[in-house]
Amino acid sequence: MITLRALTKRYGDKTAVDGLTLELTPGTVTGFLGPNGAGKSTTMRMVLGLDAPTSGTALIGGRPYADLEHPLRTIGALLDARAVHPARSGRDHLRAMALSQGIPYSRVEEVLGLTGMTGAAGRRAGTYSLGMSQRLGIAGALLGDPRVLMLDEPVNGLDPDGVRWIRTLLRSLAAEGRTVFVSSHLMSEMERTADRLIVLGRGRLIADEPMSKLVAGTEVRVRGPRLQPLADALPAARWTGSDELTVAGPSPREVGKLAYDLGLPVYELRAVESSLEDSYMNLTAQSVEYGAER
Amino acid sequence: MTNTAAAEWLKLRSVRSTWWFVAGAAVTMLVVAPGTALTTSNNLEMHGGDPGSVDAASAAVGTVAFAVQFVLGALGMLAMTSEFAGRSITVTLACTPVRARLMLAKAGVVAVVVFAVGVPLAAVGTAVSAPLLDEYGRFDAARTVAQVGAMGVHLALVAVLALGVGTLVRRSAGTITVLFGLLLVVPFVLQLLAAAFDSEVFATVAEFTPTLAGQRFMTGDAEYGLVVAAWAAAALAAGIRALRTRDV
Repeated sequence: MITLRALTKRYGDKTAVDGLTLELTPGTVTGFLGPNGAGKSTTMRMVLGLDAPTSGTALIGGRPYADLEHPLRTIGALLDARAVHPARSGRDHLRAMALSQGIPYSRVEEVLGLTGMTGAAGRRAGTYSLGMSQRLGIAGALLGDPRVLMLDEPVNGLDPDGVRWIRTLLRSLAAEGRTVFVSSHLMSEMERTADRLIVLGRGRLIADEPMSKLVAGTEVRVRGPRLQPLADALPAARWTGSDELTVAGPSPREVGKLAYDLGLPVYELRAVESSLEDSYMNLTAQSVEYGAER
Repeated sequence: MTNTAAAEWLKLRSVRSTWWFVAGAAVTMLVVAPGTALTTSNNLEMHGGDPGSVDAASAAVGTVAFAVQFVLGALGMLAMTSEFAGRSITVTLACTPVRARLMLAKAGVVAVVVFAVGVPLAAVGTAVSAPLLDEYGRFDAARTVAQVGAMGVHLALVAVLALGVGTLVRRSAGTITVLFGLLLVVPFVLQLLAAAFDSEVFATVAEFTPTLAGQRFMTGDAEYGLVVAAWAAAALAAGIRALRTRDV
């Protein structure tokens, strides 16, 4: 539904997005990850036609954004929750959007109800907390009942209840066959929400994998005084401490039995879940723009 | 286009600042027009002017040209600069990606609103100031009605001009600077030069700046209305081009 071909954006001699090619499919939640400054927001802005690409194309259903007759009915986006006139009420903000698309006011009340904003809708948007602004933005994205949803950091500022509500919402929208494209920094949420992960670093595509592949699954950790023979017997093992080996592949039972057969004392043997955060950190180690020393 | 215009009208009327500016324009007219009329009649008395030598609406015209047009011009400017300041321009353009259409819709709504506010304002301004012209005021019903209408049109054109400049500059402060320069400083300097060098050329050029052309238009020289319209159209076209070619 969203197709990017060699999408590039340069600001002077800085390349924000570099030859990005990918295709987003309906019925999936695609997560968009990357360090700050990796080009995620710039990419989304180019999909919406807010910024013109230096080269390459970004198409929605095969057409550029400006060609869509009622754009909000095709793609609903939340890029910046604070992009609301502070003196305007939340309800009027959504009503203006609805009017521009020929969407009835009743739909405005519907999405206000969906996002729990009915009570606050009459107040000026400048009085909203970040979480309320986010909810208003999500209401706006849902207004046109679009086939594609593109959200930049939707859980920012939401309380745990809100975070879970978004996750459920996004998964249900994908289950209805819509295309959902979400960028986030919240690893644990990304793990539980997305089916497919796209990782960007310094404007380039670093990874485009199903979630199952990136969450490497379980590894086995074993500690003991003389593990060298075990390390020799398991070529995939790596030292994670002076007396500790970590290996992916065999089960704890298999590692335990091997140590026993080799006559090696074992102090600790356990299964360890490798997280998305670990995979992500490994992938992006070279690409962090604004990073602290690790 | 009607959808976009409907949305822009809602956006304009749903913020309090719009109504504050309308009120400000009213106060300006009610305070400045009578004052201008008094000054005019005093001057004429001192220098022995002829009775009926100024139009009944002349004080209102002067007030529009040198005061009210700034207040309602600001309204036109804000229709765009507030979108950039609050970043709501991203939502607006997501709703209406065809940028020329958005600009034309905004300009249309601004023009209609300012005209609808300007005409009654001009009428009231004339009504309160004309009596203060004493015998020097000349009342001709048809002429006065035409002048009131012209005041509404001039204000609408200046608001569209301000919208165009606001789209080019994107920031209120910069836009106000440009507008003050164009509407006040440039004609003033040109007239000074005309007087200093006793020059016809400078005087004529001055009359083609929006404020002075507008003053002639509102006094009755209809063709000067085209000059003001040309300024507004040029600013709008420049704004459309800028919005279409630049990132947001």
